[in-house]
Order: sequence, then structure tokens, then C-alpha cells
Amino acid sequence: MSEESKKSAEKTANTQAANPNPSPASTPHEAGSQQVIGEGSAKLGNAPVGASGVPVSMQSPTAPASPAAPGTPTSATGSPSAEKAAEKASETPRDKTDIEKKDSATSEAKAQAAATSGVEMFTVTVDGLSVEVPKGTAVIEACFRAGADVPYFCYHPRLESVGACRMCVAAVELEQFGARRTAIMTTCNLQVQNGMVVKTGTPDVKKAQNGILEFLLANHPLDCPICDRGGECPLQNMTIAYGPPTSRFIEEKRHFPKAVPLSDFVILDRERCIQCMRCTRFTDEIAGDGQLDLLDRGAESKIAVFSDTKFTSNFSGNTIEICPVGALTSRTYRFAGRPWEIKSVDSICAECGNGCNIAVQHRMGEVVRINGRTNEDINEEWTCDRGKFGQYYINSDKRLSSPLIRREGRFVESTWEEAFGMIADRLSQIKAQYGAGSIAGIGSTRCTLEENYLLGRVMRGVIGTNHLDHQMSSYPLLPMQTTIAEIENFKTIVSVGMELQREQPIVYLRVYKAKRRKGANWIEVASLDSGVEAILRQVGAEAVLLLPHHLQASELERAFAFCQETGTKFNLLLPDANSWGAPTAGILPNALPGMRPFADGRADVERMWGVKLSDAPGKAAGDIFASAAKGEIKAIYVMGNDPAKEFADPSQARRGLESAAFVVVQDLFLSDTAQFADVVLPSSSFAEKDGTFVNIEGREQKIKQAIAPRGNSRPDWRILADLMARLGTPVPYFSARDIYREYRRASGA
Amino acid sequence: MQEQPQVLYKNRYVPGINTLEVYLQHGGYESFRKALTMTPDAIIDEVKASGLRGRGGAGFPTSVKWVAVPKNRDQEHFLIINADEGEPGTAKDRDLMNALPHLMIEGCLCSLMALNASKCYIYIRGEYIEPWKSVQKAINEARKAGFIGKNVLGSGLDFEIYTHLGAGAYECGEESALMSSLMGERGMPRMKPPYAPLPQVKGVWDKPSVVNNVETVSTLVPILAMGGAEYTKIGYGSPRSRGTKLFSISGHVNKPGIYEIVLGTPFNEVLEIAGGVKGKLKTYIPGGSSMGFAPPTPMDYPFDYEGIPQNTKTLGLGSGGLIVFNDTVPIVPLAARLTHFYHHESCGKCTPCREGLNWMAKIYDRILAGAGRESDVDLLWDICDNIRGKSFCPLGEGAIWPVMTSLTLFRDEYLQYIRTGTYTPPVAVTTAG
Repeated sequence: MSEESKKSAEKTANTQAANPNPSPASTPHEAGSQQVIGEGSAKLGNAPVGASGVPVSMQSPTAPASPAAPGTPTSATGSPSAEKAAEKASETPRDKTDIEKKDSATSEAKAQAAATSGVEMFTVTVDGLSVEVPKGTAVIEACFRAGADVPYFCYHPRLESVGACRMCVAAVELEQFGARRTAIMTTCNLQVQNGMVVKTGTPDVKKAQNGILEFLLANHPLDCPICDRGGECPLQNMTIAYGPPTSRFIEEKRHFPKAVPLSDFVILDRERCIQCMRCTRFTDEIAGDGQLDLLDRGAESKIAVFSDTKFTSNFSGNTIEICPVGALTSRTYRFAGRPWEIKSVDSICAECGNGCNIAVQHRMGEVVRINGRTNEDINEEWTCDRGKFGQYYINSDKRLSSPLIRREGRFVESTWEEAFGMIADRLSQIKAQYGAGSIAGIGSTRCTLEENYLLGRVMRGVIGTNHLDHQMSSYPLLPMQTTIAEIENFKTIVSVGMELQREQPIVYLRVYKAKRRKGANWIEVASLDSGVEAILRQVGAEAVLLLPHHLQASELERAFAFCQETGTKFNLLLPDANSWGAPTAGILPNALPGMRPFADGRADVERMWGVKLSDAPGKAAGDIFASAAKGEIKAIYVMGNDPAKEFADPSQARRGLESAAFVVVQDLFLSDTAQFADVVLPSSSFAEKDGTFVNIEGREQKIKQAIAPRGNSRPDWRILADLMARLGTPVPYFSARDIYREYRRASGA
Repeated sequence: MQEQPQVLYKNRYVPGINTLEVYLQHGGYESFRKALTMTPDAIIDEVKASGLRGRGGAGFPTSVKWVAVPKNRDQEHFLIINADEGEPGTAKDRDLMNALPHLMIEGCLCSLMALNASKCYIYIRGEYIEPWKSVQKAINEARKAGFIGKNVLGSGLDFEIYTHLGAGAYECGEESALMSSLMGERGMPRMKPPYAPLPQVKGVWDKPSVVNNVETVSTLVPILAMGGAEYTKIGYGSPRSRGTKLFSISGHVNKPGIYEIVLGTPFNEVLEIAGGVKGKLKTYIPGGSSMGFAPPTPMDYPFDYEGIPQNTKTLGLGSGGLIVFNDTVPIVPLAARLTHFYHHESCGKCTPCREGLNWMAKIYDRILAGAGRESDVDLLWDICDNIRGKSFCPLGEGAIWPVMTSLTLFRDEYLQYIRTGTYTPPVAVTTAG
């Protein structure tokens, strides 16, 4: 914190201490928002300039008087502003949509981040309340801090402001070219000045906002009853608060073709569009592909993709979420529910390792929509299309609904009881006949940390084998050296051998942000041989290297070595939602939970599990399948993984699975691997269970159950716990949370 | 009748003046040669002494605009000539470019000297194919003669002038939209102070840029030739309106055309220069339609930057497009036509201009179709009031001015038109000539 801001913070603290009677209007604010109450400005009331310098002679005879008439009594002491605040608090606040709440939370987070970075703080008076905001803040954000309700459509805290909708006007007293003047001004694109005075609810301001709302509704189809946005639409809510109760517009409305599909996911209704340009700016500034733009001019302007193209961006779904009307709607969610019927559960995306925070929204037991949720450290508020539209498999009819047992070469539906009985019998028999070393387990980077931990416990602690692995191709487990958020601070970003937009979408957004907003140099190369070393030797510690897991292990180690030499940060980006959770849970041939070597963790684990661990060295996946093909491994237990399809050499996996005498598969679908199984157990999707995913940064995040498990399926951890009981070990878990606690202790935390 | 010294138009009617050869015979490029010997500050001082104000419409003092630009040649900055003349009633830049292209190019070169810049872009309205050909031909001639290019006239300085044809948008005459369009973006206005820095600080490609009108830079040539102090002696009215200005006079006058008139000449003399009004003067637009309609009286006020707004309640001199209407003209279809123009030209960026003008055009259409309501008069006023001061750029502001002034001046005629569906001139008029 700079000296100056320290001082200003002290000053704030003093002022608050000196004011024994803080205004009630201060209560709704987040703790930590620095607010000075009762410090009214005495600088008001200068020139009688009308709105934007319009000559007074042209003012309509019916127009209300200018807001800052000379001689208006101003709040020079504490009491008038306290009165004003009390008056404000008594007003019923406007019902705000989730979109607006998200926006103001984002703007607050932005202000907080700026405030702690030592930026100069300015004092701005909004409706008589003084707030401190960092230099460079938009006036609208200062108004949010002061708790003032400024309506808007085009403003978005993560996009550059355009000042297009003109809804966010306020009476602003500011200094320009050495003179102070008051004018009705848009607040989204105006930066605060120290000592600026803003009034949000003056008659002139209301008149302007009512006018804008009437304009926006003039050509809006008002088809709210059949619009997906109805119920969570900023325009709808704003209509209740602003504008005339009935329209004076009696002419024919503007017509465009409705429900124009822009892509497989996004549908555009041009009649509903209010041309706020949030979507076009998103594609330009955030996604960087600029696939949406305005077509034509004036009243005929409409959102469009370029001719003969589709909205193929991997981030297209975000435009639906930020659309302040129902112009952009989702083809998957279309007519699937109304916002008030939907329940929303905070969870984590299961599609890739970035770990986006999402809201799983469901209606009558079906997931109908997935929306982004704010996490400044990871996805800000965005999602990729895979995360947003790719998870409807949850509702698929092809999901397994009951356990299957192979009888005479065909799968037959069975009860859980029967299936567990068969598994317990066969595993016990194989263990008795060939030893525990003839049984192997395959974990999954798509199951939770808890489930992988429990598979480890069943395999190591109950059965007594160390043949455990999760990797379908072999890559070194080198942790990321920066967080996702830190990537945006590097001057040079080198990504090797991957299409970042698709493989690591949220990392891509950071990279693009660095490039666009901070002028970073993003270099994409096909392979490490394309001169990467030479580049890094030039830029050294100012660079970060991004690598996919699917390079050769030797290549990755070579890159790691020269990154250490040059000081470049090395970020190996793993592919799946729990690529770090599976190894840290202990699904490795030679490591225990917490990735502890046997020598280190053995005592703890043996004490907790109450067993003696096997001394035999564990086999990695490749060896497991090779040994199975040779007949040394008799039984393979696969949880949530599909080696028959995804193993580096699928034919090797298939040979192993085919040769094994007994194969159990837990999965959502009848996968390729399940074709080799003797027993297939239906498991639950991420939306149907609790647990923990560890993202590419090694950050643990909780997923939460949104809907009941589909059909007869059970969460993987529940299946393993039931099996454990069947195998005769007492099961101390009632929830994923219990398993997580045990995992923490077992990993030495 | 006041004397009308011709400064810009001195050689306007000399045959072949659009060629370099004839232009040089009449003292062409002498001002530029003089400018080459002067420092940028000295040129700006001359311009300041002359009191030259922007001739494009806003009337901002040119020297003040120039002072804000960094004059360091190492830091690239641009001169942009606004030749996107689209204001209804205005055709002066077209005439300058067609008839006196070398005067304009010399003006550009003098301005480049004043700004210590080397690159000039001339943004010409898309419909102005002929003027563009004329300017491009003149640039080619000037380049051949060594006035443009590397090491011009042995000065060691480089000067480049490029032309750029717009795609036909009135909005691109607004300087920030012009810059967007020049950069290849949509012709939409950008933020200006207090929202964003001045173009002189951050203009095209985020580099300092100055946007000047064709006539403004052309006027620099006579100013440098005669000296700023001498130039400022021209003028009959306000001390802040000096020199001459080109007026495009159209409508019901006997000799419509483009005239160079000394600022401050009484309005009735301006009309006389254009041959007098045909019939009885009903109203006129002093400086392009965005300025609004003026009442027929008073007539004897000084026609300049200050005199017009003070005496007519219109926005002012504007671009000098004087349109005269006699009392055969019905005001409602006239205002409707203008509203349609602005509706068509609205870029669509901001709500009030996009939706408000669309609505107003629909109301006018309804009135013209005979389905008007008396309440439409107040409704039009209120829509204008909701646009006024709320639009992003001056287009919305300019669009409502003719409507609001027409409502103020001719409210009864509106009501009559709505009731009867027609306009009856107050007295029978015999059209002269």
C-alpha cells in the first residue's frame, strides 16, 4: 500500500470513528468497502447549465428545472446526508436480476482489488454519501459502492464501456477544461474525479431514463410470456421501475425474422435485441474471435455473424448469459423451464482441468442449464461451450440404470445385491487362489478425489494389491508454477502443441486477456523444436511456458530443464477435471494418498486403515494390461475410466481386459471397456453427487449434488463403500465429506 | 452594400485553375514555400492572429485545436481532413475540391508544417467521386512537382497526403466516427472528453490526430500569404468572427450557388448576393439542416458565428449551408423529410438517436398519411426532449433541432396540417422568374 493510500485509509477510519451515528444506508454494503458517512460536499450549486450544455432558451416550457439550480441548499454537515440516507433506506429497492447482482459484485471485486494494489483513492459523493474509490473507476461503479441504483443495459464490468444504451445517466458535477459544471452524463464510460458529486435520482435524470426505456420498448416485441429470459430479464425488471406505464408508440413495430440460429447452441431473436453490443464486445474483447458484429445501420442494425459463417466460438454460450434481454437464447435450454421453477446448485465443471465455477440448474430432476459462476481466480465469470452445452449427457436415455452381469456372453440386468455378491465372491476367490497381486485397479481423472481415495483404500487396504494407476498415457506429474490468474501478468506467453481455445479454454481467456489488455506477446508453436528454447533464453523469467500433457514425457522433462535454466515459469496443463485429484488421492502404483512415498506415509495409512500394506511393488497401467495378457493379473477393477478407448495403446488395454478372468467397470454408459466387463455398475454423474475436484493448479474445489442419481445409479464412492462393506471391512462413511476428512489425515495434512 | 473581398475564391473562375500549371501562375504554393521557412509555432501564431475558426460547423478556434498536439516528428501524429461533407444544404467543400484542389492541398501542406507532422489523410465522402478524382489528380501533380514526397523542396522534410473514400455515411462526418471509419472500423462515434482524451492526444491508431475541415485548411493559404493580422481586418461583425466564409445558398433564392461572403455581412445582404428571395420569406436554415429553422425576422443582423444564434434561436452558422424557404413550403413534409434523412443516417449506436428518430419518422409518416393526432405535436416535442442531450454524438442533437424549431415557430401550422391534411399558404403567391 502506498503512503498516500495508507493516509487516506487512516482518514477514512478516523471519519468513521468520529461519526457515532452511521447511516442505515451503510449496512447493505460488503464489509471492507471503505465508506465515509456524513461527509457532505459543500461544492455544489454553481452554474445553471442545462443538460449537456443545451441553451436554456430551448428548454421545453414543460421540462423540469435544471438539477443544480444556484443556491440549492447543500449538505454541508453530517445531518442532511444522514437524512438523505434514511430517506433512501426507506425506499423499496428495485428488484434486481441475477445478471445485475453479478455485475455489481464484479465491479465491487474490481474496486477492492484496485484499492489493495495501492492505486490513488478518490472521494466521490453520490446522493450525499461519500465513498472512496480507486482512480480510474467508472462513475457507475462508484454509485454501486454508495448503494445507489443506477440502471443500465450496455455496461458490463469486464467489457470496455461504449455508452450505447444511455440508461445509466446521472447528474454529475465534474471539472472539465478548468471549470466545474453539472450535466446529465452517462456514468458507465465516465471516470471518477476527486471530489466529483453525483446525483442519481433527480427529476432530470428520471426523465432521461424514462425516455430511454420508452425508446427501448418502442420496438421491443414484449413477448415476455414466451421468452426464455422472462423472469430474469434486466429489461423486464427495469420496465417495472422506469418508463411510462403505457406506451405512446402506436405505430407498427420493427420486424425481423425471429429465432435465427447462429450456431448449434445459440439462437438470435433480432426483434428482442436492444443493440447494447454486450455480445459483440464479448466476442471481440474477451473471446478474441470477434465472430459477432453489427450488420446494417441505425434502426435497422442487427447482430449477425459474418456471411456464410456460424458462431463457432468455443465461448458462444457466454453471450447468452450476458444478454440483458432475450435476444440470444440457448438451443439446449430453449423452452425447457422458467427461471422461477429452476433450482440452482453451485458446482464445478467436470469437463476439463480448469475447474470453472458453474451453477448447475435443474428442474424436476433434470439438469436444464449450466451457467457460469464468478471466481476471479479461475474463470472470472465465463464458461466454455463444452462446459455449458457439453454436459447434457447427464439426462441421456443411454445412461446405465441398473447393474449388469454377464451371463452366457450377454449382459443381464441385476440388482445391486446380486452384483455386489458376485464381485465379492469372485474377488475373494481370485485373491485366495492367486494372491492379492493378481488384482489391479484403474482409477479415473474424471471421478472425485474422494472416489479415487476410496478405490485406493479398497485396493490397497481391503484387497491388498498395489497395482493401481489412473494415467491413460504416461506424463510426469509436474505442478503448475503459476496460478491461472497469474498467467495474465506475464509479458511473454509461449504455448506449445495445443489448440488452447479448445483444450484449456479458461487458460486461453487469461492468455488473450494478457495479450489484449496488457500487451503481452503470445507465441503459439507446434512443437518444442520450433525455437522455443531460443525464445525463452531471450525473455527468461518474464515468460511462462504452457504445455499440454500429451507431449512425450521426455520432451516435457527437457522443457522443464531449460525452464529452470532460464527462469521461465513452467506450466504443464493436465486435461481432466480431476487430473490432479486422482494422483493425490493415491491412485499411483508407488505412492499413497497425498502422493506420499511408502516410506513416508506407510505408518500413518496402516494405522488409520488398520491393515498391513503389501510390500510388492505396484504396476502402472501399461504393466497391468501386459500382465493381464500374460495371465498374471486375473481381475481388473475399473472405476470411471475407459482404457479400451483411451489408453495410449488401446489394443494393449483390450488384450489385457480380454484375458483377465474378471473385470468390473463402474461407469455412466456402456463404454468400450464395459464391453469386456463381467459386471458393470451404473455410476452417477458429477451433478448427482458431492465431492472434490482438484484442478490444473492443484486447487481443491467442491462439487455439490444437484439432482437425485438417475435411475438405479449410485455415486462411485457409494458403490465402493458398499463393496467395502460386502468385503467385510466396516465402512465409516456417511458422505463424501467423511471420506474427504479421512483422505486429509491419510495424506498427512 | 458591403464590399465582399474574395480571398479563397480570388481565382475560382480562372480557367484551368484546377491544374498545377495555372495554379502556379497565380501564385500557387507560395504560402507553402513561406511556411517551409517558418517554425510551427510561428505558423500557429499567424493562425491565432487571424482568429480563424473551424469552417466545418462547430467553429472551434483552429489555433487552439492545434496547440494541443505534440509537435515532435519522432512521435507520429496525423492531420486528417474532413471532406465528408454531408450536411443537407452544404456543398462548399465539393466546390473547393472540384475547382481548387491545389488550394486545399497547399492548405494541407501548410497545416502539416504547423503541426510538424508528415502524414495527412483526406477522408472524402463516398458519393464525392468527382471531387475525389480531382483531388487525387492534384496530389499526383503536386507529387510530380516535388511538393509531396521525400525531402520536399530540399527542406529535408517528408510530406505524404493520402485520400480515403468513405462508404456513404453522414455519421462519418463526425470527427470521431470519421477516425473509426478511417481505421477500417464501423463508422460509429467514439468517446470524447470528458469521457476519453481528445483526438489531439489519442486519435487514429491511438496516436495524436487533428481533424480539420477542407475549407479551414484552405483558408490557411491566404492567411499565410497576407498575414494573420491583415486577415483579421476582414469582417463586419463580431470580433470573434473574422475573415470570409463560403456559403452554399440554396432554396428559394434567385441565384442559388456558392458564395464567399465576409463574416458579419448583414443577413439581408447575404440574400441579395444570392439574388434575393423568390416570393415571401417564410423561414430559412442558416447553416445546414442540423442548425434548425430560423424565423423570417430580424433580417439585418450580422450573419456570423455570434450573430446567428443570438438573433434566430438556431444553433448557429454551422457549415454555412443556407437554405431559404418561401411561404409556399409546407413545414410538416419539410420537417418529415429532414427527420427521414437523420433516421436513415443514424448509426444505431445509442438508443435515443436510433429509436427516437425511428419513432419520429413513423409519426411524421402517419401525419402525412392523414392519420395525425393533435397530441402528436406534444409527443414529437417530448421525443425530441428525450433525445436532447442524451445521444452519444451530435447527430441526435442535430436531428431534433429542425423539428424542435419547426414546432416552436409553426405549431399552429402543424395543428392545421393535422386537422386538414394540407397546407394553405397565407396569401396567394406568384413565383417570380
